[in-house]
Parts: sequence; structure tokens; C-alpha cells
Amino acid sequence: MAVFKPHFPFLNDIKNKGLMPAVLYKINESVERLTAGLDIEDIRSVLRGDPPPRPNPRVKPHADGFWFHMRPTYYHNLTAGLYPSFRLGWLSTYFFAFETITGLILMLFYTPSPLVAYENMLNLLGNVPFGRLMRDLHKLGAEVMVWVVFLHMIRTFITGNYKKPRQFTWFTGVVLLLVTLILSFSGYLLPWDQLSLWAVTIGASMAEAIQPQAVGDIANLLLRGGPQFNEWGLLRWYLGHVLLLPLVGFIFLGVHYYKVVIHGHSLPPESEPVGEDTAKRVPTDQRTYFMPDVLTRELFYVSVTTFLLVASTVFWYHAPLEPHAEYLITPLHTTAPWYFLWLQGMLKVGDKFLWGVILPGAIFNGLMILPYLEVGPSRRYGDRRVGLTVGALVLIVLAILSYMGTPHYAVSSSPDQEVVAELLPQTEPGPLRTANWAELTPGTYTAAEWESAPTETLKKLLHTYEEEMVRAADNPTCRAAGNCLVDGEGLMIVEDWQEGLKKITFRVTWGEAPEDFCLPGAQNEFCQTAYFHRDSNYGQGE
Amino acid sequence: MTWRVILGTVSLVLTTILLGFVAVTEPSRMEGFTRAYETRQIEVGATLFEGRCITCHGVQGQGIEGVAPALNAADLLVGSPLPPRLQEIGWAGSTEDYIRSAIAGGRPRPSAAFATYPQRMPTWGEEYGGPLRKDQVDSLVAFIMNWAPQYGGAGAAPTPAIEGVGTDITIELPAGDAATGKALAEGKGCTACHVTAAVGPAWLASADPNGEGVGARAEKRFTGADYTGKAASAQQYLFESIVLPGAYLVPGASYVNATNGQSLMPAIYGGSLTKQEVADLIAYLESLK
Repeated sequence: MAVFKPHFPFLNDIKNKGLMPAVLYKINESVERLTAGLDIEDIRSVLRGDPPPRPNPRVKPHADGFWFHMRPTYYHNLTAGLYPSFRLGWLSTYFFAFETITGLILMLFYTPSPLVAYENMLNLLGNVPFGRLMRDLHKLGAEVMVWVVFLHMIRTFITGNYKKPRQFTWFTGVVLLLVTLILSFSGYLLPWDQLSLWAVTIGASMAEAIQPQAVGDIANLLLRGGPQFNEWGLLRWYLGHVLLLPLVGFIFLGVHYYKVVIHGHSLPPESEPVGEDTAKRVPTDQRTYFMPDVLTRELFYVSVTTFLLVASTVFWYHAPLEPHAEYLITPLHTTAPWYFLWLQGMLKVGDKFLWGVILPGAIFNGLMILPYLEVGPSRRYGDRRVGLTVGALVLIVLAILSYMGTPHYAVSSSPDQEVVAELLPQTEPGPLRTANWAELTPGTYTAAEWESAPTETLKKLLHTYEEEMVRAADNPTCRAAGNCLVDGEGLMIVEDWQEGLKKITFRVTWGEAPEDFCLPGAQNEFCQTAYFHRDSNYGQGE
Repeated sequence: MTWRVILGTVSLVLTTILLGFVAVTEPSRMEGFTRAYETRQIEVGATLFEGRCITCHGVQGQGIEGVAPALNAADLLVGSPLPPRLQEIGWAGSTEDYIRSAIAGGRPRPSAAFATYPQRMPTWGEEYGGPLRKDQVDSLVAFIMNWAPQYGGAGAAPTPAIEGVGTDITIELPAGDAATGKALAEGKGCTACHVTAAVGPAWLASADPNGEGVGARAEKRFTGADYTGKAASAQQYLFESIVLPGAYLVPGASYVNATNGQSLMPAIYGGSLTKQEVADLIAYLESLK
């Protein structure tokens, strides 16, 4: 009685069929298992573009496989192409996965502590092969994802897909939009540079405006970890960024897509009778099977998008990294990220609580319940002139508010500082630091006499300087504020300071300029020094 | 469908080529970034120096008589094996570390050679209650070290990794210098236990019950009947005592851990002392008879 009887059917196969046929059979069988139902011949027929045989083996993965069971077996011919979906939902999903993967890699090199977070960035950029690429891809992916998700919503609004029976799909979509925005924003704080600290400080200061004051104070403390951003604040934003928000996103993505499949991809508005939803009733002759048409379209989108992202980051896009976060130095113009500029614009309009908390809250709540309020039966463009016009107006208002959020609108500042900041910005390298070091000949130069400077680089810098001085001497903003630089003079002094290091002093004076040079507390004078090293190489992005 | 498959495949191939391109250029890019960042630290350090340091140390770090010493000075930045001012106080680390520790922790009193300064150097490091973060102190160090090239020094350089002497006591050591060895013994902390204190065996003859210094004892020990080590000369015996402190424990010695019978001396010096340093220490110890 054998307790253990070896059992090798493969050997029997070889005995019966011969070695090669048995191996080929085994390979074919493995492929069929991996694809959950398609053998090699089926795949070749798919790739050749043959019409599906009957019974269609290409529907088997939808029944047996995990990944394909989530996807419909076929689309209506009218929804399989670019219009009406533009595949923006698929792209949003792709970016969610893309950000998760690049983010996981970045997590390996990151510690959520103000003591080392910035050092981690330097290590990532200077010590980790592909580190900069991953950081750039993650950042660029996040920015593009906001666009893609936003456009997905706009498209859904325009084609009226939020209407019955897809109201709840729209609702979860708005949640996903919020998750995307907050995910993108919460990633801002993590590098712990100046950009991080001040962009997120602006965001958190809105929480402070919540009334009653006690609630605002608590919300503010929760977001910052203390009166100002500290290690606890950073840890919270980090955990939100890597755990809470992705989890919420993951859950809502599941619900959202489940609803999409349950209701089917809705047809272009003009292709079905008003008030009817025929998405689930696809006539046999109108079917585009997922395999291979939709699948190749999706894979095509993914590979081209990946290529575009990688090419952009390799050749031109680099995620910014500003100097280490510094509580004591507020950069001249701090702005929210571009997708929150509209919010910053609203804050300039009036009361922080009303415009920064109540209204944005109302906007997002309104978006969520839109399909339950706007219940007109027709999805056709011609029947929805009012709705589409309101939508367009909202977009225009959003654009105007975003402009108002930029420093160009209603920001009072000192024209003397603005002049120097034009040459020596605090948040980016700027003209001086990207200038040719060798051509910064030591000497004292006046902006007005830029033409007599000894080198091209100096001429260019001084010319910019002079243009800014002329602008600061008279413009509507300074006239309104009464601080125009009348009789102004711009001075630039270049000194050799150390081996490979030059000291550059900018001195802007106006009116009755002081005799002494750059003494603290002097009137009608603004001085700023900068040091510039031969090898500091600001041209490379960070 | 065909053009989608072709374009998609081409995109994949191009992506792979781009990644390969990145892989090839990555080492030089990383090196470039590191160099750029190091020099930006010098720029940041210069700005900090202008804001925090020039009132005592002078605009160009040349020092102010009666206030604070020069930092832009050869005797701080260059010298072999260490700049004179570091040797004078028995500093055993790099110049960068010396400057970093002086900025971060301040100076409780001026060193003996510069005793004319009435004010003490305040603590600047955040970890000691000062206003500057670690990266800011590092930037100041980078800026100060950038004065070294004008005195023929190498400029800012990371603390060199030490190639330890190892634990093979039969290797040939370079010629040692007793004076350098004495400075090392003080700088590395040996004297905390070994001069006269009751922990390690005292080196000085005046503190030994038999009136023998460590040099004299070493000449006899390795021939003793109960000796368990491998030394074949007094030098090797001292070498062994430094890098393999457990090789031989003198019976009844005060430096034996009562619970496990091991020596209290850490067995780390084979990895943290260079050949030259061990040779200098041995020369110094041999002179203590």
C-alpha cells in the first residue's frame, strides 16, 4: 500500500504524444490559464483582427477572470470611440494607479519629519538613481490628473450623463474630484520647502476662519499640529496623503465604476429618445466587443500617456524644490496651487469665512446634489441651453477668480522690493542666478546706464533692472498706493567674495536717498544682497 | 486597430529607450546635483554669515581684535595632520566637524592661545537652544571652509571615511610620533580612563602601584607565564591592547566587567583608528616608562 504515489500526468502526455506536442500543449494550457480563457490561437486571431468565432471565446475572460469581470463584455458602437467619453474616466483611473506606484517608490526614501524631510529630497535628487525621475513623474502626474478628472466632470456635465439613473455615479464622482484635489494639495507639504510651508499655510488659514471661532481654532490646530506648522502637522498631512485619501479614493473609485458598469456607458445624447436610457440594451449588430477593440484602445491610451509623461519629465519638466521651509521668511508672493487659485481669488473678495469656507462648501455640496435638483428629462444639447450656458458661465467665473487669485490682482506690495524680486526672486532661480557667472565682472553699475556695462550678461540684467525701475516709477498700482519710486536709482554692485563666490548687492533708492550705504533702518532705500557661486548651476530645474 | 497596436508598441519601446537614456546619464546627473547643492550651501552660508556672524568675526571673517578670532585664517583651515588651532586643543575630528561643533554648541571659553576674547561664543544650533537648524549650521561650515582654497587647502570636503588598522597585530606600522600620539590620546578620549583614573590601568608611572608606566609594563607583560595574547614584542603588546582589549586581562585588573568577565575597554579601535594613529599612540605609550 503506497502512502505517497507520485503522479505526473505530463510524463504520460509525453509518452502518448511525444515531447514537442506535449510541451506545446502545456504552454498553450498555461497561456489559457493566465488569460482566463484565451489560448494562443485565440490571441493570434484577436491580433490579426479576425471576426470572433462562434461561440466567442473572447468573452470567457469576462466570466472567469478577476480583472476582466469588472469590464463590460461589449460596448455600444457609439460609445466605443473617442466621442462621447474621450476615455477621461479610464485616464483618471490610470493616473490613480500611476500616482500610487510612483508614490510608493517615493515613500521608500521619505521620512515625515521636519528635521529630515528636506534632506530626504536632496538625497532623492542627488543619491537615488531614477529618484528625480520618480519625483518629477509623481508631481507631473498629479497636476495632469487634476486636469483629467476636472475635464471628466465637465464632459459628463456637457453630455448630461449625470441625469437619471446615474445621479449617484455623479455624486461619487464629485467625491473623487475632491479626493483628487486634496490628494494633490496634501502632497505639497511633504518636501518641507518654502513652497510647501506657505502654500499649505494659506490653505490651513482658511480653516482658521471657520465660525464660531473655537471650531476654527481647533480645525486650525488639527491641520497645523500647533500654532504654526510643526512635526505633528506634517505627520498628519503625510498620513492623509498616503493612507486616508488613497483609501477613500479607492473605495469611491470602486463604487463609481460599479455604478458605471451597472448602468452601462450612456449613449451620445442625440442617439437615444428623450427621457430613455438605452445603454443596457445594445442590439447584437451594434456591439463592439471589449476584446480586442476597447482593450487595445485603452492600452494604446496608457502607453502613449506614459510615454508623454516620461518624455516630459526627462526633457523639460522638473518638480520645483525651493529652499528649506523657514517660518521667519514669508516669500513675497505666496500663491495656492493653480487648481486652488479660484479659492484664493474668492478670499480676496471678502470675508474669509463666507468666501473661503461657506461658499466653497456650498459649491461642492451643490455639485454633489446637482443631479437631484436638475431633473429635466432631456440630455440633448438643444434642450439644455440654459443649463449649458450656466455651466459655461461658471467656467468663466472660475477662470476670472483664478486670475484674481494670482499676485497680479489686488496685492499691495512695496515697489522697491518688487524691482529686486524681479531679478532675484525668492521662490525660483530667476535672472541673476541663471546668469553667466563668469560675465558678472566686479564693479558698481547703475541700472540707467545699462548700455555701458562691460559684458552682455550684465547689460541684460541691468536692462531688466532699468525696465523695472521705470515701471516702479509710475504705474496705476503705485499711484493708487502712493508709493511710486520717484527719482529712483538702481545700483548693482558685484564683488569677488571668496574662491568661486561673488557677492551681489542691489540698492534701490528714491526721493531723498540717504548718504550712507545700506545701513539698517535707512529711509528711501532698499538693499538686498545675494551670493552666487560659480558651480551652483540653477539651470537644471531645482 | 492596427495603427493603435503599432503606435502603442512604439510608445512602449520609446519609453524604454528613454528610461535607458536616464539610466546612462543618471550617475553624472546625480554628481552634478550634489556639486550644485554643495555650492548653494556656500551661498546660503554666506547670507547667514552676513546676518549673524560679521558683528564679531568681521565682514570677511578676518576677526575683530578683542572681540572674536579670525575664521578666514590659515591656522584654522589648513595644516597637517590638523590645522594648528585644532591641534592646540587636541581636536581629533575633521576641521568641518570642529567648526560645526563650535557653531552649534558654542564655546564655553576661548581656547588657551586666544584667551584675549572676553565674550564667549554663543550656541547657535537649534538642538542646543540656538536659532539655527542643522542644515543652516552646515551651510555656515561650507562657507567658512570655502576660505581654505586661498591658503592652499582643499576646501569643503566631507569627513573622510577612515580605513581602520584592523586587528592583525603582526602588520608593519609606520613610524610613530609620541607628541601626536599624546594629542590623539587626549582627543580620542583614552585619557578619560587611562591617565590616573581608577578605571583603566593608569598609564603614568606616578599612578601605578609599582611605579611603572605603561611603556615599562608592556616590555615585561608579553613574556609573562600567564600571558594569553599573541604579541611577540612590546609594540605588538600595546597594539593588541588597543585593538583586541580582551586578548589578555591582567589577573585582578580593575577594568574587568564583573558580570561577564570581559574587558571594559570597547573593542572598536581596529575600525576607527588608522595605522598612523595607532603607531603614534604606541610611540606615546612606549615613552611612558
